[in-house]
Amino acid sequence: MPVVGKTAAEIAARAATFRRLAQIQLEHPDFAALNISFRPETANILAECYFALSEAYKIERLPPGSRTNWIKAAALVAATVCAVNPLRPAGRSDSLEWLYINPQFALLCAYGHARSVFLPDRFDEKRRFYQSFQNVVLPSLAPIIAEGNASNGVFKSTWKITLSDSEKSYLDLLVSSFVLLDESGRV
Amino acid sequence: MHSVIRTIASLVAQRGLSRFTRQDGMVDAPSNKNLAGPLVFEPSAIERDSAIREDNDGTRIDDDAVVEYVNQNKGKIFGLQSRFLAELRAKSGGPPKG
Repeated sequence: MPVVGKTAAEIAARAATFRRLAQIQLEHPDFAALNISFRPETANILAECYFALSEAYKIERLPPGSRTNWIKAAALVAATVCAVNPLRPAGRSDSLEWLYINPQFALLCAYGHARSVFLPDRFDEKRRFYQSFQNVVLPSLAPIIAEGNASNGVFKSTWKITLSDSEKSYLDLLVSSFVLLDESGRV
Repeated sequence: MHSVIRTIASLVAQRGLSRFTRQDGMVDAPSNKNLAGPLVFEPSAIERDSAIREDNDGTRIDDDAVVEYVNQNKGKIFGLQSRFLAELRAKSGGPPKG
């Protein structure tokens, strides 16, 4: 049981979902042109980090035994993808587009969880929104990412993290912006 | 399995640096008289706020439904992504020279 409160089967199922979502994302011609690498083992790190983050966020906000609703899960998935950066350069990464590849994949994953497609209207707003996903720092996930890197995505530790106040604030703002964008129904 | 539950104690410790600092037994925090900067609140106020739980309106995430939604809306999602990347390239003046 690599994350407290979650079974190995749940984590494996989520890892499989991330792999399938990455496969879909890599069908995009712009992404295909960038020579992107996505290693299947990375999906284990994504699943592990997602559940650790989700369980920690639930402790802050929900009664014990509750489930996170899907729009909140969408925000947590986006934050996780951006902290992990699963799409890696297989060669040169000097294209401008590279800066936006993981944020765009993060939103693709989030759309699936929110069951809604949303993005601000104007270019500057879109760019700011995507840029807010660049350099996402969630220090509580760093040791999980380090273990995943060291063990090629095979986890032996059981993780239970506690969010710092700044991480909690960031996630609260992200959940709120997703709720607002979803409710505005712009796309 | 001999796995160890690992927690991140340093992050718990960071809570002491929170803008909303807990200070047990505090009656009147001197720093609250400053013009600006962190505020100190009575722990009971923070604890009462923290005890309020959100409504439990979540359901189990259906992994197949997540993938199915993305597959069904792939055209719309890719369209948004492409439009943004095209605008980005146009604004940047195209690829670097040389």
